Amino acid sequence: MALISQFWLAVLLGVAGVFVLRVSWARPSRSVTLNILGWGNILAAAVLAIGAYGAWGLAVSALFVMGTALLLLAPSIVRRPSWKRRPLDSGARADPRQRQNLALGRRVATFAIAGPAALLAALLLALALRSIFAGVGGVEADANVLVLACVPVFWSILATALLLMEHRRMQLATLAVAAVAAIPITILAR
Amino acid sequence: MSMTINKATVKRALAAHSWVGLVCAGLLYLICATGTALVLYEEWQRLEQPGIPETSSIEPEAVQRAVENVMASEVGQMPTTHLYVHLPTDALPRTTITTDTQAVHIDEEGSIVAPEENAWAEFLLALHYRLNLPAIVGMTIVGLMGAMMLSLSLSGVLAHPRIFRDAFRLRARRGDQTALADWHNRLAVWTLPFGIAIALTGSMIGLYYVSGYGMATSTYAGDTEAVTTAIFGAEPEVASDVANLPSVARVLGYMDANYPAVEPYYVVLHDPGTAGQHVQIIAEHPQRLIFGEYYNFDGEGRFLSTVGMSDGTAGQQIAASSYNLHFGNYGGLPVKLVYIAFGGLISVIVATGLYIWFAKERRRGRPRASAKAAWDGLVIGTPVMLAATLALRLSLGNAVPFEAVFWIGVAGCVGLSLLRSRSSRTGADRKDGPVHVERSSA
Repeated sequence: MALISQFWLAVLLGVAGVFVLRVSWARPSRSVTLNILGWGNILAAAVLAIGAYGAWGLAVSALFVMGTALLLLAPSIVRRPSWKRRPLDSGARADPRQRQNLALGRRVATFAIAGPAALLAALLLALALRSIFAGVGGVEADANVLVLACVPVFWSILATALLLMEHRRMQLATLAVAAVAAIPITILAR
Repeated sequence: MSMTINKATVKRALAAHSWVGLVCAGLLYLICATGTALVLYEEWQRLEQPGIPETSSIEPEAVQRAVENVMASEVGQMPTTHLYVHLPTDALPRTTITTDTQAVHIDEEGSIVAPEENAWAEFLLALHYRLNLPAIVGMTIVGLMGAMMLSLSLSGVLAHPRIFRDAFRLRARRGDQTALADWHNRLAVWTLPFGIAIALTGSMIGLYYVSGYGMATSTYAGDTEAVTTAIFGAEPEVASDVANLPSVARVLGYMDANYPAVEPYYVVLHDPGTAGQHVQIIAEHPQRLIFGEYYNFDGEGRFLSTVGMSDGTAGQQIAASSYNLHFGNYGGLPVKLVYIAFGGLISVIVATGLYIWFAKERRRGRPRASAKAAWDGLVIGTPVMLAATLALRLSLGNAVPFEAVFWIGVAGCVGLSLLRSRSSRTGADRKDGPVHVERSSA
């Protein structure tokens, strides 16, 4: 019974946290106190929910927090704009005859770098991490799940980072560093 | 709260966000929309076969009789390697037995009632899991899309320096691109934890062939099974000598006496009727994210061990939690309904993302009318064809080729939308034409 009370208290704190943030972010100037109070409530809610029912408690209480925030958006759906302005997309600004340079080769190269090449680098990095983890006495099941979780995380971070880079040379160097760092660790640890 | 990200980074993040979105939007939308519908997987099965006897529980002796009846119905055929008994649950209060060659519903006495007919639910599952493609290709593509959804979340956050400050700013009635962008950004911010959880668990499951092959090659001399054995336990050696069927009733009785707090929902007979047979119970643990724990018994019905999904290593518990966290079946119907709402919103985020890009392109003088028409067709066609295939299932039965109907239907919706767009543009040109001629002749 104590656990269920603790869980509902967590839900209540999380929902209250969202309301506080709503108030805080609606102010014309920033309120550090309200921000800390809002985020603090959400953090306390997470801790209490985990304490009550572990990952299940966190997952369910998070649904309440997200749901509350989305419901707070609802009044905006019916609220009319208080002033008129020219719609942003009311007309074309550029010359319609202007054709975009397709640069197909460049796009294919970007796709290959951020896609398959980055995925391969992510896999190598995850395998290297597995080797290090197993090398320091990590359990086999944990080591394998580490790879399953790290491949998508590493790939998404790597792909985003590569797409943020302006120069092709920098992209290739990043991939090379990842591969050069990962391959020896993976091979040595076999 | 504001973040101090410089303008150049924001611009590049926005470009990266658009780039990944453009490449992945179609498949991502399809996966999100079908995933939203799939949350009700058990409920769809009940809708497909409404006349099947339902019960909240079944006696262990009735399960024993049911197993014997099903095995007897397969005498003279190739012996099944596995026999699965689905026990009644809140979401699917039916007893169903599946072997290598058939699936049948069972009544409270353990008699076979009717063959299982849930082709639409299975089609939906295959569509979301592997896009109706062979598993190795389809699951990998779906896993790649999950990872790209993570990438979109990351670049989306980087591209919006006022992401928290503007978190409640929704100018929904502006009627222009700002409204569209607000919808996209606000929904994305507040579903971000959900989106990350879905994308991460989905990509973990989907990219198994990539990650597993990598581990098998680097560590297990190419043995991919060894990768999962470390997490989910191993299958015992096969011994093909004939033996009596195991006592499932004794196994269920043991569970009831020794693990009263857990809820068994699957009985798995490995190599039933052979000397090497053994029984596994999969039982749900209330208020846990894990899909369940495996309880192992030998062919005589003696308890051997648990695998450790509930109390084993952190990795085992994380792996066992990824399925429920992804599919939303850890809190009954209320959690499922929230998952449907959030899943629907994620589909809206994907759809509006591309509409924002089309609007920007139009402002730049590149209307992309055909691409937008194709996107319209896909956005509308996917839910329409899901509903149409379901209607066909309910009206024509289990034998409808759902995969062909769905994919041809979606292609038809895209084609129709393209034709409409083309004819409306041609119509507009014609309308301009004669007016121009008349003015000239006058």
